[in-house]
Amino acid sequence: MKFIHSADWQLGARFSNFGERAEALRAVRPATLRRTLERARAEAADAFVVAGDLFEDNQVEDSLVREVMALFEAFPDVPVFILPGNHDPLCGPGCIWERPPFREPPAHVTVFREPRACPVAGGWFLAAPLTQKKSPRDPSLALADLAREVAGAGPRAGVTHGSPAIESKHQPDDHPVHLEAASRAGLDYLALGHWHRWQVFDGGRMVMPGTPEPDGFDPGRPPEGAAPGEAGSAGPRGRVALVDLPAAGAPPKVTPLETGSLRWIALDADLPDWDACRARLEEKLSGPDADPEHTVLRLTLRGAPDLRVREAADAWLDRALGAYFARIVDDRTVPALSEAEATALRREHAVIARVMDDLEAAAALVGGRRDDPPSVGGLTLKQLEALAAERKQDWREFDESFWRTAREVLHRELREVTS
Amino acid sequence: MILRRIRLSRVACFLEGVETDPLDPGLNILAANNEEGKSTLVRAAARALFDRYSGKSQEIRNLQPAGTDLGPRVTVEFSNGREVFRLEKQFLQSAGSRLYRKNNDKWDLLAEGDKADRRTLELAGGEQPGAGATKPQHWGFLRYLWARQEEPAAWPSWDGNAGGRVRATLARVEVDPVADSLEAALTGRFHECFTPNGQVKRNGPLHALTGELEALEAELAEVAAGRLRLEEQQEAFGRLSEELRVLRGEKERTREEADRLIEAARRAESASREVRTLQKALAEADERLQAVDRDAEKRKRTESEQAANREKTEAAEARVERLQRIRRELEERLARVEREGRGVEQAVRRLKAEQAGVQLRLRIAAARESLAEKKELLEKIEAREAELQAKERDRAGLPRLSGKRLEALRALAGEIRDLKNRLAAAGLAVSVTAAQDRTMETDTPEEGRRSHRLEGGKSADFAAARELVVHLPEWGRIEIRSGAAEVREKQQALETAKENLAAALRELGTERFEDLEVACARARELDADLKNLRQGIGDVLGRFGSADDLRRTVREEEAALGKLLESNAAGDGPDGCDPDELRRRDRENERKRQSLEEEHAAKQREAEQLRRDLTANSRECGEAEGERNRLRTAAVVLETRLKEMAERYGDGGLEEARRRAGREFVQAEARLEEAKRLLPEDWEALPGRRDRAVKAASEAGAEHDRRREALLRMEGEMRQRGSEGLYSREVRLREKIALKREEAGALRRRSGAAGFLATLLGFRKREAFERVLAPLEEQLSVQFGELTGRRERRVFLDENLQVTGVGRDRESGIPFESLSQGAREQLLLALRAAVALELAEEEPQVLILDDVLVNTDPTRQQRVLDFLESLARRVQILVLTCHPDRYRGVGQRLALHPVREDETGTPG
Repeated sequence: MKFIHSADWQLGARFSNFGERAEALRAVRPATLRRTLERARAEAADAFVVAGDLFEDNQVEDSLVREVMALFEAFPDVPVFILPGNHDPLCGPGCIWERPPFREPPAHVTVFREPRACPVAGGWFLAAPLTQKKSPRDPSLALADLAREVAGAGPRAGVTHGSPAIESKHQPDDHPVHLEAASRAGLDYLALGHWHRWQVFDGGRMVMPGTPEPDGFDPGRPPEGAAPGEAGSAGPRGRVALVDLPAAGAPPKVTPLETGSLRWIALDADLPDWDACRARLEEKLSGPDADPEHTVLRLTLRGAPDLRVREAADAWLDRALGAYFARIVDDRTVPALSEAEATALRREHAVIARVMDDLEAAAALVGGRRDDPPSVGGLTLKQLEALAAERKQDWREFDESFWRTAREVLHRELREVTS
Repeated sequence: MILRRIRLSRVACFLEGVETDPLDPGLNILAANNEEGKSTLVRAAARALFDRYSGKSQEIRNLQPAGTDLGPRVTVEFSNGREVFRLEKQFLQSAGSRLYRKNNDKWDLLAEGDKADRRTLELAGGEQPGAGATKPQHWGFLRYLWARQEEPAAWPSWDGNAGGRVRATLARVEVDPVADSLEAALTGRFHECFTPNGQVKRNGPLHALTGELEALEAELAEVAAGRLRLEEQQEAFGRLSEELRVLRGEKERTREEADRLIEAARRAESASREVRTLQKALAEADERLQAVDRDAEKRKRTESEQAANREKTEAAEARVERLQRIRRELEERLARVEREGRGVEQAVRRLKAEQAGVQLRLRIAAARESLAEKKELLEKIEAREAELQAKERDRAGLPRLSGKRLEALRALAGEIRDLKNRLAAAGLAVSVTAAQDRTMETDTPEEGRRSHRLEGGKSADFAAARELVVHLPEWGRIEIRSGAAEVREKQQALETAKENLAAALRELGTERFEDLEVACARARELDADLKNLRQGIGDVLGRFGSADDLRRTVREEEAALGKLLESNAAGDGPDGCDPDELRRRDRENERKRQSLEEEHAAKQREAEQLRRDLTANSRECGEAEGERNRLRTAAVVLETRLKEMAERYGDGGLEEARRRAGREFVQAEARLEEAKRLLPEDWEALPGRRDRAVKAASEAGAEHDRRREALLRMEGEMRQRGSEGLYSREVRLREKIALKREEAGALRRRSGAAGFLATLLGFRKREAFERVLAPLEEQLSVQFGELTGRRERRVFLDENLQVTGVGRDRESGIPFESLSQGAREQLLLALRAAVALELAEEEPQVLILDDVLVNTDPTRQQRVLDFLESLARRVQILVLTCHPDRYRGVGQRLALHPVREDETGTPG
């Protein structure tokens, strides 16, 4: 009995930080699904299992639902078994599984609508679908009853969706699943879904493959309580599991298959030393493994560049990052003047230099203790409050980004009036 | 630059050449009367220093002597501290310019023409205008150091190069145009999105973004609400589905229960009908048995009643007989008593007739007595009325007037008398008041010599017709004569009074007032008599209102007496018996009558009692007869009943019939018990239970169907809503909102930061100026204090170095415009002095004061002189004044000396 175990496709998910590229990010996942089905066919898998959260929500648009069904229909030789998860629970009319086309799917597509055992290639899928978004009940409990019904009749693979019940690592109402749920129910394998990182429990019998297409920059991190070697980093790409159950009672053979098409890379750039910074970025972004068209990049800009450096950096970044699939530039720089500019400013425009000092002091203060500051630079709190009030502003709303913007505005306007 | 000498020729009033004395580096006083050319001298020097020699503007032409077209010539010697220069310039006709520098005692030509002008301008620190003549703003420091006569008491602005240099020098900080531009640019950035009071600017980019954001958020809220509704519906659907499942089970269970109870109730109904039939048969058997028992009992009871009836009939007949005998005795006694009563009644009637005759005669006697009394009274009254009428006739002949009017007439008569007396004494009236009690004498033709006693302090009047002689003891004789005017007045008043009195007397029917008074006295007497008479008649009348009432009463009593006499005559009774005898007989009759009436009443009471007894006896007798008859009838009925019963049961008789009915009852009872044993225990409750179960099944079915329909409707809605892709819409909206929010946030942040920066920059600029202004304000305040003698006041400047006010602090100071003209002049002098002192640190400066302290009082003038002498140690001062007395004893006096034409210097 051999099958592909996938989970957490989250089709139709939101990407708020990517603006107009969000649609492109969503469009990647159906393509990844198609490739994974092709892999299942290539592996001659007996089944393609989705252990919950095929869709991000029960109310995704019909066009997406039909697109996914069309994908499954394109692979009639790959039996598909879908378990409703906590994002797309079987919660009655209106949910995806009660609407066309999944309400009456083709013969090779099975939606687990209730806890039941389903024969597959001499073995059994024992499924415990979710019917609600939250529940304190362990969904794997139903699997033990099902396992008794089919005892001694080939390998048994459970399918369900929930949080591994690691102490302090899960919410009590997030469908907690016992860490030895597979052994407890007498299963040869438990296909689990919910978390988006590769996780292995219960001596290798309980696997959570994570999302097939990564959706964030955070690298995978072994969960606390997991046995050494069981849980590994999700790596740069998404995964599914190729599972082979040779016989009832035999240990499962689980092979991670990389499926993700996009890499999510986060880089830092320290702008003041622009030449060195650019060299490092070029090295990272232009290496042999560089694949901008399939990379989602987050570049965090730091430091206190002067306007000249900043403009040079912006120009270079516009050219260098243009080819990336999607990118986020997280600007945490603090606009500054060059040494020469600062000296000239202090000499020729003492009042403006004083204003810049005020901004520096204020920004430093905001970065530290914000409660009841005694003064900001030479300004007293009362003066700061009064100055802000002149234009109906509240100084307490002046956060770090405000001061950064203020410095940038000041530098740019200063350059405008002096040019 | 300081001035050393000025020469003019063909300039305004100086047609011939004039020259000043050499100017001292300190204080110089040029005193002259008005229009003698003091100001012209300085103005021409300024034109020479700052205007091009080739200029032909009106300002240059104004230098020409009036009515000529001569070319004005001006020579100015000046030094910049190290070197001495001489500028010779001629305008308009044969215009030219030459600049010399002193070299030992010789003048070396430095430049000519335009070069000379440019070099001079550099040395004087002036500027050239684009066209036309120069204006004060082109005169370098002289713009601030030359207080012109016609200049208003205000400080010129600090614009231009010289102004900037002065400000920079004074405040030790150069005005930073970059900071100003930056502030303006930042303010502009702020105002792109916000109004001056911090509101989001309508139609601005931030306003547009906010609007878009609000629209997106509204749409998102709608979509999210739709999602939430669907999720709630899904949750409710699960709950309702479970409830529907429970209801379906209940529906089936209640239907089964109803069917079971319907069958059980049907069987129980059949069994119960059989029981009811047997119960009916048993009841009929029982009825028959009871009927036989009732008949046996009835016969026994009838026979017993027949015996008792017989005894009662005999007793009733004996009672009827006894009562009839008593009745006859009562009737006899009643007849006797009624007879005796009628005899007593006749005796009473006779006695009453006799008593009425006696009483009539008594009333006649009383009527006669009363009539006699009233007739006597009437006679008395008629006599008094006759007397009263006689007096009333007398009174009618006398006048009728009130006491008030009589008193008025009396006063009028008195006035006439007085007037006559006064008329007799008209023209002479003397009032004498003695200081002490005195005696004096008067002598008049009317009264002759009379003595008078005078009380001290009181006046005494004396009058006479024509002549009055007063003899005063120890003093002599005074003779007083009168005129006629008073006589005429008194006579006229007398005539008027007489006419009035005569008219009043005529009206009253008399001619003399004395007759009137006599008549009035007589009338008063008669009025008193009449009153007494009327009072007497009233007393006599007593209870009668009037004599007529009395006469009417007499007539009525006479008529009544006549009627009584007629009655007595008709009764044929005696008339004229003694009333006392009559009264005694009347009392005797009364006693007899009362005795007879009591006897008659006793007889009537006895007869009444006998009648009641007779009535009671009749009733009792009737009852006894009725009872006897009823008993006789009952005996006949009982006899008939016994006969009928014997005929009904025939030969077998009553006992045989009873045995047969008993057997039939026992058999029916046994059949009923058997049928009851076959009925279920609660067979009576089964129909009710069956009905309840049917109703419950119906209700459960209806509830189930209703819920099922609602669930189907909900399912339809959920399917419809589920296919709307609400989550996908929400995702896209949230992504758009995040973009717009970031955009709006950045815009708001940038504009807000620009606004705050502009505010902060303005604040720092103000702070910088305030910091550098403080020493200047301090210096100015000291100098102003020295000038005015009021050192407690401070002078305050604004950021443009304009005087804002004078006082103890910046906020409460007196504004410059509100100061007096003198104070403003002194303050401006102090400011010019401060400017000159500061500028003199770098090169010598000249301060020109052209009649600017004309409003300074003498006390302050001395302080001004002290101040100028002190200032002159570091600054050259040229005072032009038409008040030489104010500057006596200070500085160097300048005079204008005529010079020959060739000595003025003629530029080549």
